[in-house]
Amino acid sequence: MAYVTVRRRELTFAERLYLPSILKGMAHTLKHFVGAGGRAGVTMQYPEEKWQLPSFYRGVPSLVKDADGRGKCVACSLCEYVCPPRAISIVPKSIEGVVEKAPEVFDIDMLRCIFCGYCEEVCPEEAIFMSKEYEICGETREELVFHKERLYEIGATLGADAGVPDAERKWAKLAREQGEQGVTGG
Amino acid sequence: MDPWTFWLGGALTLVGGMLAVTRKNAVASVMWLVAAFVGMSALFLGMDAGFIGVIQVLVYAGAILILFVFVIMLLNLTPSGLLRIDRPRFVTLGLASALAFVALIVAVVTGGALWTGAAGGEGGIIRRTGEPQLLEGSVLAVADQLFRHHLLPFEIASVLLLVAIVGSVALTKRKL
Amino acid sequence: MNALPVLLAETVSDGGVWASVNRTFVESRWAYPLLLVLVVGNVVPLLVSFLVWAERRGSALIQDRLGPNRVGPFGLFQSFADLGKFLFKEDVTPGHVNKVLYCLAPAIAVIPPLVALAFVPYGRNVMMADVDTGILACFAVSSLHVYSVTLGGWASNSKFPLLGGVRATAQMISYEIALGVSALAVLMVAGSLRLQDVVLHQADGWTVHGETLGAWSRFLDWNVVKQPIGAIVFLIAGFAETNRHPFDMPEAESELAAGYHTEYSSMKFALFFLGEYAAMIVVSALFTTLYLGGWTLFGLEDVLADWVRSSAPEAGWINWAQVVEGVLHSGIFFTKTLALLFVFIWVRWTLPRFRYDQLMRLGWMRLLPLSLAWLALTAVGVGILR
Repeated sequence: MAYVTVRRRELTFAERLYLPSILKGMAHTLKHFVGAGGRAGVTMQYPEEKWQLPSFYRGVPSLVKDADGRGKCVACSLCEYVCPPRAISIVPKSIEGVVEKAPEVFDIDMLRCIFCGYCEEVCPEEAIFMSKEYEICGETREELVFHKERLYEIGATLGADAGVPDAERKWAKLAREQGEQGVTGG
Repeated sequence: MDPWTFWLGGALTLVGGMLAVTRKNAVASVMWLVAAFVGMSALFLGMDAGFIGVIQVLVYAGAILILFVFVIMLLNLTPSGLLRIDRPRFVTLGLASALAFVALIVAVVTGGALWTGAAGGEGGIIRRTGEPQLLEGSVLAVADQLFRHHLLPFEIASVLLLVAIVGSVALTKRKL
Repeated sequence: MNALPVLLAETVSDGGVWASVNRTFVESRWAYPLLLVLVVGNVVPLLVSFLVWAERRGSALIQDRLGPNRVGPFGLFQSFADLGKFLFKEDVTPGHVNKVLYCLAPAIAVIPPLVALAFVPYGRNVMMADVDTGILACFAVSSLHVYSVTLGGWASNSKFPLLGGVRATAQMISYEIALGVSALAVLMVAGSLRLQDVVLHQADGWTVHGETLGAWSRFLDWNVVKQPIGAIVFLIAGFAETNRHPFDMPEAESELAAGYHTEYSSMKFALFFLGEYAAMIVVSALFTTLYLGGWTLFGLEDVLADWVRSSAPEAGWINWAQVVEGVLHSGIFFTKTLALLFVFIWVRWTLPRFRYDQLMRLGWMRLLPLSLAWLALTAVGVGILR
């Protein structure tokens, strides 16, 4: 293959002296140093300023309630089943005297959660949503296992974002059919 | 001289020197030698010989001994490698040189009276040239001696050093 | 050398045991240097902590970032937070080190630079040790600084520290020669080793054949004007002496982990850090003294001092005129030194690191011949003009 020998240009004395280039470089950094006030403004002052999160942002998984303030989760355990890192553990409540099942225990181990959002996708009741919450910290491992109450608390911050409200209003429907049976939920 | 300077400086010099000889770890040995030089420098400073005292630290502690450490670091000496020396012969030689040194000191102190039997150093081999003088500005004093009275020996010494430098370069550099 | 009685006009007028003890101490030759030692010995570590802050903020601004801005106003007290962290961290001494030398090395890193600052004149009467070997004493003490990196590298008994230590030693020995030779040219011009004389010589205008030229020459009397090449060589060698960029071979994070202090943690590491910055202050102070006219400012320092003195309170228990003069002089001195320290920081965040062979070639084959040639030229010039 043909090749071309690239002849290096002979350096001038000033270039070989190296000092002029140093001064040039230092002039450049000085320019940044002096004019940095404006440009450094792009740095976000984190705890005071926060990110504008995109709508598809996946934060901590959370549980939501329906329009009547009842927990939507029916403890079907699909999310527990689908969860890749097995971060979710659910213990259902006794089903006597209720219209729908509800979880007795709903724990998400935030040390294991990978924020994949499968739980949100798989949920047939649209009860679990990925929230915008991303500041998770704790001093112990136990502290980072989020229990049911905490998850509902986070879910309450979602508001109207939490998908369609319970269109069928099945609790009300069932209650009408069966009369007042003292149904309780979530 | 301030007695404190004398005792502290002297003790540091002697202890440092002795430990420098007896340590098995070469780097520790050099560090004790540095301490000895610092003590010696303190003694010089106590005698108002500021220039020599400072040069002692600058040249010996600051330059020559750091080269020692440098070489030792690169050689990776082990204590067992250092111990392979001919003990009795070194002890004999060491004692002999120590004796010679003591004899020299005695000769200087007594002005040679021990050898000639004369009192007060009259006609001694080594004679004091006079009482030590306190000179204003030791740098000036040293320079005056070197460049006015002993210029020839000074220049000869510098030529000798130059020869040594050229010689060491010629010996170590394969391709000149 | 003025003693404290100059500073304290009338110490204690009435009698009493305490008064006489007080007078004996104040009039002894120890009192004034001791006071200065207390001041400078505390100011320098304080200065180091703010220097670290300046380094971090300065580097941030140069890189269009903000830098530490949380602790105190503008993050000024960041270093104290860091110091607290260093103090409470676990002090690990690895099992494979030579314990005595390992512990000795950080101490040697800090002590020589602090001692070297005793020989620097901060003002007409603000000086701890006015010795006639001035600059030599300063060099002698600061030359012991190299033991810290050497011993730190060797005593750690592991590979990267040893390489860092060897590099540091070779580098510091090499550049000390160029540093010394370029300083020698200054001493030749000043005709004295005493640093106070070097400073005063830069404030009295040019003297040619025993005649002093006009007042204009006072403004061109700094050695940086008379010794431009020497000043450049001194500055470059000073960068190398303090292991600063672009000569930070001994540490060279990308090659040697952290170089000679890889195995150090907690306060021992902090001492190395302090030593490095203190050495930077020493080199800056020396450059100020040798090339930038020390505490003088084209004769303006006396005009200013007179002006301030005229409005100063009457000399009572404290001789305010002396205090004002001292503060003013050391203020000028430290302004120049701080400007130089900014140059140190500025260069660090501008230039990339040299390769080791380039470093050695620059030291031995460029700077040393250059400084020797400049020395010879200076000798000829001094011979003709004196």
